[in-house]
Amino acid sequence: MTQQGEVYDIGYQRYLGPREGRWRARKALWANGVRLSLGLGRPLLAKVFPWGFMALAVAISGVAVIIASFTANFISDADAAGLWGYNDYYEVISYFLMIFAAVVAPELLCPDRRDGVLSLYLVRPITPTDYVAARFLAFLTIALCALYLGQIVLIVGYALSASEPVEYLRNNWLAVPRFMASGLALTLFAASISMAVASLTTRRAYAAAGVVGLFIVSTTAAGVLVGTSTNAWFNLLGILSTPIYLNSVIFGSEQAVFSPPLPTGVPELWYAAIVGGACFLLWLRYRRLAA
Amino acid sequence: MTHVFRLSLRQLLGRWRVTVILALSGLMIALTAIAAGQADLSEDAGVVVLIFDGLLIRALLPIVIMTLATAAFGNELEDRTLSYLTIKPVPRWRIALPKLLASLTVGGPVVILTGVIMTMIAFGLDAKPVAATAAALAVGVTAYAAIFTWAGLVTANALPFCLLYVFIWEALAGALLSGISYLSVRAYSLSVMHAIDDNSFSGVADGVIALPVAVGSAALVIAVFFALTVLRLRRMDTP
Amino acid sequence: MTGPAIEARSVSKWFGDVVAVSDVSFEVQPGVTGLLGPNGAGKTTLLHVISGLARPSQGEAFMLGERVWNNPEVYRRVGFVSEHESAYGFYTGSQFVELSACLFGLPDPADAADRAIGYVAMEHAQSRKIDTYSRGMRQRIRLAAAIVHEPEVLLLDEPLNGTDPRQRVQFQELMRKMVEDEGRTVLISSHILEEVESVADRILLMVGGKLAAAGDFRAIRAKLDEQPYRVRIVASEPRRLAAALVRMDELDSISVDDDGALIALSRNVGVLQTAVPKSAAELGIRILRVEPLDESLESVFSYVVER
Repeated sequence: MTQQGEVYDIGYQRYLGPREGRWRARKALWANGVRLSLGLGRPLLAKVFPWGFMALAVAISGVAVIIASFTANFISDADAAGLWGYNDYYEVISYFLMIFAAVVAPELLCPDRRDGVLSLYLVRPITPTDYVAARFLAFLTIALCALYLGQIVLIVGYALSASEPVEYLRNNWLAVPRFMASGLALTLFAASISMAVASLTTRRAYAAAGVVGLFIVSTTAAGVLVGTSTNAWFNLLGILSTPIYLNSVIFGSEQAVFSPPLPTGVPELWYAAIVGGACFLLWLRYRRLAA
Repeated sequence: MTHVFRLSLRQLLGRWRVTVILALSGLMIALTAIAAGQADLSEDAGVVVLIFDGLLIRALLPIVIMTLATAAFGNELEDRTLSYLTIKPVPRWRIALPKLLASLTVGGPVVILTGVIMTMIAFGLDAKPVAATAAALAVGVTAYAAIFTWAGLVTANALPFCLLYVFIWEALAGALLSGISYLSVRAYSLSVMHAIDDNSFSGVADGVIALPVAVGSAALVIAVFFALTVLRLRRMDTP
Repeated sequence: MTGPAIEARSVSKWFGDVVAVSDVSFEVQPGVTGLLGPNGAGKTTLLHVISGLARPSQGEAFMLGERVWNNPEVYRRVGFVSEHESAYGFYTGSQFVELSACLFGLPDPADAADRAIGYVAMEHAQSRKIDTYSRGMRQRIRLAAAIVHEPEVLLLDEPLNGTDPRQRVQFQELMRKMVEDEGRTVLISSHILEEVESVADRILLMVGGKLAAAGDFRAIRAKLDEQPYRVRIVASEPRRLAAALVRMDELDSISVDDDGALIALSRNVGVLQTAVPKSAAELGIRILRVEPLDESLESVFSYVVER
């Protein structure tokens, strides 16, 4: 028999479907990020924080509504002003949002680098920026869902327990754009800080501890310094002070977050600097990692 | 046993971990100094609470011990090296004890020294408040180390859970339900502090329990969590 | 000594819904035994149960007549090298082996470490940090740490992963020396028989968490050869294909079942595998499906044996 080679057609097929581009890849990364944020397809332990946060976001509103409807048989317009409000909701939930961010942001970024999956993603037609942006948006999606859900429960609950539900909504419709804007400011803040910290280490535990540690240390440090002096600038050390300040500005509340007040525009600038700086760090890290 | 101890010291003294711990200690001392420059601390009980409860016992103490003690077994689990210790003819308590002692050896001096310096900044060279802080921290360090060593063996991702425990259980729940004082390491520390020097630390009287109860409970916590660690080592599948 | 060196008595191990090892019983006598099976067959889990790292969900494992689970004392006479390549990277090779010697409670750990390092021929690198080692060096230093107390029983999980052919030969010589000179028991897991066949007297073959065969591998092979292997073929013109195939010597019989599919019986699957598509191509017959009908121990075996 002469030496010859032969390849038989045993029915292997090429992929003949459509080839989709970057947007498809971005969407897939985002969707995968959403699943990761919720701990879907992961062990029970990974679901504790996201679902606990979701439940808490709704439970806080639920409790507020129940208390309101117990204290007054019907909420009249006069009561509405004194109710535990939409801005108060954010002040409470912001602490839990930071904890949620501390656990979920590392989940979104760290394992991909630790397990060396990132380089596999980057051989697809996407850039590091696409990757980070998709993860960032996934976080925003879930966090905003939780916060808005809580606010919707709050407004619907208050409206239903009001003596004139339609009247209540007509008088308070402005709360909706306000809580949307303020919620966005808050989640943007939590996302950028936690993602930036998570980009610094490949170990999830360290990243989570870093975020919570930053939060605790800066808050207690600000507390001590503000408590011992009259210098309002020390307030800016507290990491959550600026989103809380923005929250009260957006809701037009008179209560002063900082006393004595800081010059106009300073807290806003500081907020922008923190978010901008964190995002820049995040971008820088991923640009370097990919190179 | 000394071999596991030396090994654990080596594992805990990673550059990053040491840097973070020292930076935190430095920050706490600096904050105390700034605060002392603006108010007379021996006069202002409220600020004393802010610094010694807020900074020292609620932040520095748990964070430092947490970063060390959860890593004592956490590193072995994550690096999959625990089998080098468990496949040895060594009773399990002789693996758990040196791990705990290593966390204490690294964390104890740092925390207690930082606390002593902060006390001296606040109250001058008075032996009584210094002794109060040192004793309070010694109790807190040991109790937290026992708890977090166990947590680090239960899951390689113990750090977030420990943070949650400290800052939800010890801070939030402790503030809402006074009965939690009996189950709170922070309350044990504050109680010891208050019992030794109720003059300098008069502000921390809230939620304080009797000294024997505090020390006894702390000892019980240490014993229970050490036993849990040994039990876990016996029962668990080594990855 | 009482009983066999290693014994598993209906050992099962499951993780949640996943059964990794299912009702496995065997005895291992002194000498080298190969624990073979494809990836995911449950070899590592079985070794973990035997070594006492994992608690069996059911059944019990014994070494040297002693129950293994929760009995650290048995490790005085047992060595284990896990599949992970991890080691304390900040230690040098000799520090790592010496730590092991200390933990085994040896009277002169430094001397024992020196001997073990000499045994695996790692003297040249013993004062370098393990972090700087190559894969093969890491495996050897880990082996040294496991044999530093001269155990009677040695368990090795995929020890040849990532080694080059020369290291493999060295390793095989090492194993032979351990067994022949000193009468030890060695159990080596592998997914390739070739890796251990020159040293292993016996094999245990695992498939899907079960013990599929045990004994001399040639005997197992012969046993399997006695049973023809059944393959179901769905083709566009089955009878024409059957006519072509029936001329083959290797084919014992061929029949057409109720659905019009061919059932071929053969003792030589390899030939059948190439002959079927070839004949079909020549005749212009389309093959829609070829599937083995028997639980494919044969195919597992040939996978393990014929690399």
